[in-house]
Amino acid sequence: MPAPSGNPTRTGAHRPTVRWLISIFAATILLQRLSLPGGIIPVLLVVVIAACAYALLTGLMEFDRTRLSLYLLAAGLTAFAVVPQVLFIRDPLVSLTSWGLFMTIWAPATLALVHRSRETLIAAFRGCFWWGLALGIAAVLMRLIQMAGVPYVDPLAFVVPPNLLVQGYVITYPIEYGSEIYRSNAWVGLEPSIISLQLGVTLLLGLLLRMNVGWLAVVAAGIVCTVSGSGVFIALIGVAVMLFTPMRRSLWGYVIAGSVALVLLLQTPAGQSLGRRATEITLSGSSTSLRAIEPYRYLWPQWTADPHNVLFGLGAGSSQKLVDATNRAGLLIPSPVKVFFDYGVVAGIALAIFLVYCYYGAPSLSLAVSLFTSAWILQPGTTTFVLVAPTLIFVTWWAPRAAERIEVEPVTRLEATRPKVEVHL
Amino acid sequence: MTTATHGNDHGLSIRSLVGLLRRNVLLLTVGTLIGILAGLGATSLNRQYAATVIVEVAPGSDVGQTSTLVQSAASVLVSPIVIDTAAKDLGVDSSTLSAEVTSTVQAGTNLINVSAVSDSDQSAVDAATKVVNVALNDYRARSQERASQVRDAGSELLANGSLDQTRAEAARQSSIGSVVGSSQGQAIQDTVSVSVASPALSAYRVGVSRPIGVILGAAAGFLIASLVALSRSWNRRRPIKTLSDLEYAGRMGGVLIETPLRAAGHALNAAKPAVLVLGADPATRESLARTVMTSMQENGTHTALVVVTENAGPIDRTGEYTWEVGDDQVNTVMSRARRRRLPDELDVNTVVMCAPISGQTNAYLAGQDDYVAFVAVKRGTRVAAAEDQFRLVMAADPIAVLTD
Repeated sequence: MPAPSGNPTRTGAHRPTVRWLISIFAATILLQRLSLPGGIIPVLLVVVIAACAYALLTGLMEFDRTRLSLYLLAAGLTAFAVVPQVLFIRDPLVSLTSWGLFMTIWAPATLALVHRSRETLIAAFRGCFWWGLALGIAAVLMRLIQMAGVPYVDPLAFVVPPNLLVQGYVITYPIEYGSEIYRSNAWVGLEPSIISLQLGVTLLLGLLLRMNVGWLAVVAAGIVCTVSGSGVFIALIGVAVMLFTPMRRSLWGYVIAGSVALVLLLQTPAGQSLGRRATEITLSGSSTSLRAIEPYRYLWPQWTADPHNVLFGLGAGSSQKLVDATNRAGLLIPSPVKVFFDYGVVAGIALAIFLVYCYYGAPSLSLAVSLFTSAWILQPGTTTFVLVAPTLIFVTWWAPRAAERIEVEPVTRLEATRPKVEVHL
Repeated sequence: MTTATHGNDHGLSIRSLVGLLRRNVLLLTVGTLIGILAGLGATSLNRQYAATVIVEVAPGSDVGQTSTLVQSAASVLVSPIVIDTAAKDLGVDSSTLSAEVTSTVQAGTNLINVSAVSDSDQSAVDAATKVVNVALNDYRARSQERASQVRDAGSELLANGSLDQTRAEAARQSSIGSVVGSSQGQAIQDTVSVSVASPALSAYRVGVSRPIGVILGAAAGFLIASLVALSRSWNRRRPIKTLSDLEYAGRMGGVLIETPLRAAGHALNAAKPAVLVLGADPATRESLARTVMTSMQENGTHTALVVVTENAGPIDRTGEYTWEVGDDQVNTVMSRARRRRLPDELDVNTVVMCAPISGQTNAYLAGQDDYVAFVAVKRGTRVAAAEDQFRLVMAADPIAVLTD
């Protein structure tokens, strides 16, 4: 009896899956600023949707029944919410584009990789780490070049026509008023905070894979050069979770080295400017406050003004329209606001269950918890695809996990340095 | 050949999903139509119109003061006293009018939108216009009152004070008169600082347009119907009608799925000395076994069919290429087949052996490579029953064949 064609031998990483996943992560780094003509639909979203279609047709991916069911329920109910909104809400603001974009962005979360073995996971995460490391090096280089006296320029703006660049983001800005040093966006980043987040994820990957401390230091330096707390937040939450798992035994060396590096770093100007941001949440108008406090303060009274608003929501995209009307730069819409303000409690709960379930069954608890916390507290994590992508790449597509969590059964030195040879029949 | 999802109870291939949707076209169509009707009905039933009057507030001495004046005016425009008076004039309830009218500052300007939403276009225009008129009248009344207060105070000052010298008195009166006039002007300016920049000449439709309601309704109907179709496919008690149903039954072990003719082709290509056709139903497995045998013979492979029959004796010829063997002889026959002796003894290239799924046959399945193993599943078998069969013969990496 011949082995059925297409079934992998389970002793090694499935190379096509590894290649495919690393390519997606590379695309999230390199293509994040590009858009289709008009500057609204990111090229990255189109590329990932096309890649998922390819993966479905070639058997690299399949639909996950549970997530697909939850998605259909959430998408159906949020679309149907227009009926009670029209009937009960005074002048609802319903944007078909907003609903469509939301559902398109989260459609890939209904998929799962077919080959989710531990070997495949380690090989894929390892490949992604190298891309993250390259991003970290670029972030550090950008800072060093500026410190050497070469002023910041945006090379993409010279090469790509403006209508093919994603609009509405602050690509970078000086680290403080009057400074000629700009926050590092590694030249390719949509915002320093997004690069910081990607580097934070890379740092966690490095810890999970027990990579060389030197490489991790480079990634950490990259985060510092972005002067953004997004990556620090991800790393801190992730490390905190790891400390509650059996993985802590292999983590102490990193923690001690990291603490020493942190103390040294806080003596530098870059470290000090990052450190000052730790308490900025208390300041009205600060970036953190505009992400985590002020959106609630502004939209809560409007949401609770009428019980119908609470039940059915004010319409897809209404929170964005109202926030845009404030003309407050940097005022973002956190995920809970987006879900419940726009769609109300009835459809919003279905949507929230789907979104939360996308983190369930992940192969790494620290990655799942840190990305979830970031998306639901700090980031506009439901509608910005470049922020959703890490969740898909490192959490959702690997769920339900095929093996024990990495934190429970940590990667051995041998696994980290010499991945098993793939045998694909 | 289709492979059921490899070792994943949650997985669903794109082919299965498309098949599922195709089998439920009626359900999806009905769901979509219901959604369209719901969207259409809601947007048609609830026609709302809005009319907006744009009010301009005179700027103050600086940006901060202007902003304060604009915010104050926005509040006063829809204050209870204004709404109550306007409601009385319009002949509607105050609470109703209050819910219909809003005032919103246009960000970064000194303009205020006073909007009224109503079921008819004319009542929206009337409501917005009336509220603004009442508010402006209120402003004017208050400014007149303020001006007259200043005038009265000045008159009293002029009347009550006196000087000995006539010229001094004239100068004093002239000076006080000038101050009073200036105060009156300032009082009027401070109060009457609001005017209509753009009246509400007509109303416009608000809320959700009919196309958007229809599109979202259709999407909702389709998505919910898809969910119903998907959840129906999870029912393990449903009968197997299609290859996709069989694929779902075989999902746990990554069982391969085939039609009878393609299974025969697979047996031919494999060129093994024995083809084992297993199955719970005797007629179904024999039907598949005969299909395979016939196909192989037509393609030039000398093939014998050995049917395991309850209570039959040692191997016994029953036809030109068919033999029968008792179920207690299965061990012997399979052992001979494995050693390639049986095909030689029967003077054929391949033996197609048709047997029930039992402990005896299963004992020979693990790790063997002399057989191609098929499991014949009768159309109409319940998914759970097929799963039970697959579980028993999993060691043989069988190919499941949907058989009529």
